[in-house]
Amino acid sequence: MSDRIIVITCREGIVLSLVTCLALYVLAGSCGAAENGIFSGGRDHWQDGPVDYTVEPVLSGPWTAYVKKDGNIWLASLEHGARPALKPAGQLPRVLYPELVFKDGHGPTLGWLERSAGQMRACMSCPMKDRTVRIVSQSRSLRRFYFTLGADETIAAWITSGEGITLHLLPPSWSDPVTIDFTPKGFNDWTAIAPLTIGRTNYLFFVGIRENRREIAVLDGVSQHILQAVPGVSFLRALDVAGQPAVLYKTSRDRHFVLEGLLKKTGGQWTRFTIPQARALDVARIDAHAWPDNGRILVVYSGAPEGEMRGKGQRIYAAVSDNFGKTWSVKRLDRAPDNTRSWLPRLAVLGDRVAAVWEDGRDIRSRVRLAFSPDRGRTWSPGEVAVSAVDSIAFRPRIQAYNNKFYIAWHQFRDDARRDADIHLARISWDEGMRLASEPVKQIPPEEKRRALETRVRAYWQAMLNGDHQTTYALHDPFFRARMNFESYVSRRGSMRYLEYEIREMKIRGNTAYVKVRIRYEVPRIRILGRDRSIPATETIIEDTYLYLDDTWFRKYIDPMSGGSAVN
Amino acid sequence: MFIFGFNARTVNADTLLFPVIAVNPPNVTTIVSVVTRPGIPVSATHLKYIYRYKDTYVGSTPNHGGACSSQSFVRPTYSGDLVSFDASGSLGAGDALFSDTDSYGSGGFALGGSGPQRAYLLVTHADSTGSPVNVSNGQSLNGEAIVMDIAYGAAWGYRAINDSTREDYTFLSTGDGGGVWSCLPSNGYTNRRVTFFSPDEWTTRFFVTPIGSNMDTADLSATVQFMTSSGIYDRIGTKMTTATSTTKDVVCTGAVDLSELMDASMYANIEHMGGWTWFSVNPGTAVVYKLEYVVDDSTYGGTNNNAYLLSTYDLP
Repeated sequence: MSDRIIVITCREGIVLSLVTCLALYVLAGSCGAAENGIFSGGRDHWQDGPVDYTVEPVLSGPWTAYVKKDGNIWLASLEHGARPALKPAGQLPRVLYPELVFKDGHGPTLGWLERSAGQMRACMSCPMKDRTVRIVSQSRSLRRFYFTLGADETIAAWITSGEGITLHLLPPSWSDPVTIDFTPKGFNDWTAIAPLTIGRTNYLFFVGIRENRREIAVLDGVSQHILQAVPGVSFLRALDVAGQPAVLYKTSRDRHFVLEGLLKKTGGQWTRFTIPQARALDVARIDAHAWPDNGRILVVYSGAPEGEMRGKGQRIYAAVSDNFGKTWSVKRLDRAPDNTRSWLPRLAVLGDRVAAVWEDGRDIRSRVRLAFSPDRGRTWSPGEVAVSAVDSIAFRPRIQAYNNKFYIAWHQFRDDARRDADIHLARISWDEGMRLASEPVKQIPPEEKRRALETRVRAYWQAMLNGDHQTTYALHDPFFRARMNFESYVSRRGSMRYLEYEIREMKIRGNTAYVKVRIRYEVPRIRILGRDRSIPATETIIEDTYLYLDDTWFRKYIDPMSGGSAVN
Repeated sequence: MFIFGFNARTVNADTLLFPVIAVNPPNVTTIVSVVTRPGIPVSATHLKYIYRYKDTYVGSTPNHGGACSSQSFVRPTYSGDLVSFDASGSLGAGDALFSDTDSYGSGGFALGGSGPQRAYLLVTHADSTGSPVNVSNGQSLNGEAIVMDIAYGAAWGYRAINDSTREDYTFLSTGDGGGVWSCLPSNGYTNRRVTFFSPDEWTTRFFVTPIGSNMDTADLSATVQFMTSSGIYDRIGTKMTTATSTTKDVVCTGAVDLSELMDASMYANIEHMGGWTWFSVNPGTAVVYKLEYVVDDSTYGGTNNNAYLLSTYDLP
């Protein structure tokens, strides 16, 4: 292992040239006012971008870290503004897996992996005020980077590579860092790493592979314990349950997905538990919290019946256990129709108060929604709060609790063409959140929605009969129109003539409708492979999909060859 | 008994397999061309066409597991004949296209039916009653097909399969060069590496047609999956594993979306990035095409609608 730790002091306003890690850039440690941020929603909302939206934002306390499209990694908060962590001197490295940890009195510490010229490095930065900057450099192939925080505010930086796993312990003084080898023993490979720090003890859960077997195991710095054989694991989530280490994971039993957990009991034995209500659910992601006084565990997860496509049918659930995982009660949090996608939840906790945030597709354009529980997940707010705007596609939210407020960060496309996205950061108090969650939701009467659908379907097909491309274009979904301009649309209409239409069936599910139409059409002249052909008057039944957004229905453009469209 | 070096038991008639026929009126047609090579015996006066077809959807769900129905007919041919037709029946009412003055009798060549349908097509030498005729040549037929959207102009094509080691309705994976070389699994290769673009922007779909014995009547099945035990990699080289492989059983023929082959957590990881993995068929044997589509996007030079055969490693 060729790890090196380089400790460089960076005073405010001074830019240092770092020898080893920073061959291609210098790191700016200045702590000035906000740069490049666009305040657009008052003091409680902020945005910046465009960002590299393949890298999810990370949050700790009031701070968020994100990677901009130019490759730089940024640190921002509503209270302190935004600043880049790297200052380019040439081409920026590719930043991967940013991590962020914040503690009052110490400011935020940023960590990430970076790839440049075939080399990978792990870097850490504390760019606030008169702080130090520390870089851990490693020349071999790195995989992931994680932070955990010890009770004495020691930062634990976990760096995994194909060769091994190292833990770098950095005390609050940022002096005398300690490196500990956490490489699993006796395994050919390891995946799904989940580190955990409880007090001064560090745990590393992992899925080890040996002799074609997969086993969940844990290292605690002293010994390695094999905990559970599994056919495979989609993810691990480590958890401190009243001072005892635990890990939640998704695996399969009898060819069905299950959510299970392993908990170390006070006697030192490990016990396995299952959330039975999650059996046969295809869970996309979980988040979890355990209260230290009584070991109550709250797990939020999104799941869909096995076999659903594209994550459709994902719903948000909250599972709670008061007996260390022996039994669970589960509530569904989202109130979206089942044919939509509500998924990827995260939660934040303020004492007994809980907020869960997720990506919610009920309005066609996915939005960030919040639900609140005043009592550790026992009961939940009667409604949900939409944090992001209805006219933008928002995705991959994160949430943190700090100073009696919830901070939410997410990515949001600038328009329906979905090319550029910004980072958005919002701050909401408990009282404000509960007030908004109690407000009645505007509902359109089903008959009104159905009448509106029929009007739009008739408008579309009458325009098709009339050859009125302007109207048919305008009736297509905005995602399609954002990609294909009117001129391109018209040029592709071909010579098909529609003679008759008849609506046969309309089914509405939430904001999506399925409409069967009988049409009669002809093609007087079409040139195929250099020859003129024609298609005589012919009848067929087609099924269209309509989407309700922007207070009306639009025909979803679906490519007839591939089934693809401009929006999933 | 051997005749001209072939095993007489298997030399019945030369047969073509068109593994993908897609019909979705009024837009999507499949134009099929069949060539009868010069020198065939005079007794092979006809070609027998056998469509094995089914609805593309059941409700709004892709119809992977449904059995196929058969539609067959016999049409004249002759030494050196070329005939092209639209399997959907839209163009030229399903009759021979492109000013073909040959007389093929009434009824045309179309699949018939209504609504979106998927099929494969078998074409074999026959007499006027449809009985196979031994032409003593394993490659006396060849064919090509174009799947096209006649409203928007998108198209992709492929060559028909001609299994020269068997001259009946059985198509087997063999590694001797005369069988179905680029099916899955074949030639000792059980899988193919495949890439996929970010699925929130691109549609990636696998057209799967199981092959094997008696394809004129049998509803063959194959199970397709990504080899998640080997991992799925994202665009930045991260290996991701999953709880279990997500498999799809395809009966007769079908089109499986990328998102159907991974669990929700994996899909969430690659949704905005894409990645690569290994595609495999087990159990069963299948011919597989990968289709990629993106709606008009100047980043990619407009709308793209492309498909290609998941061929044997490093071979076209």
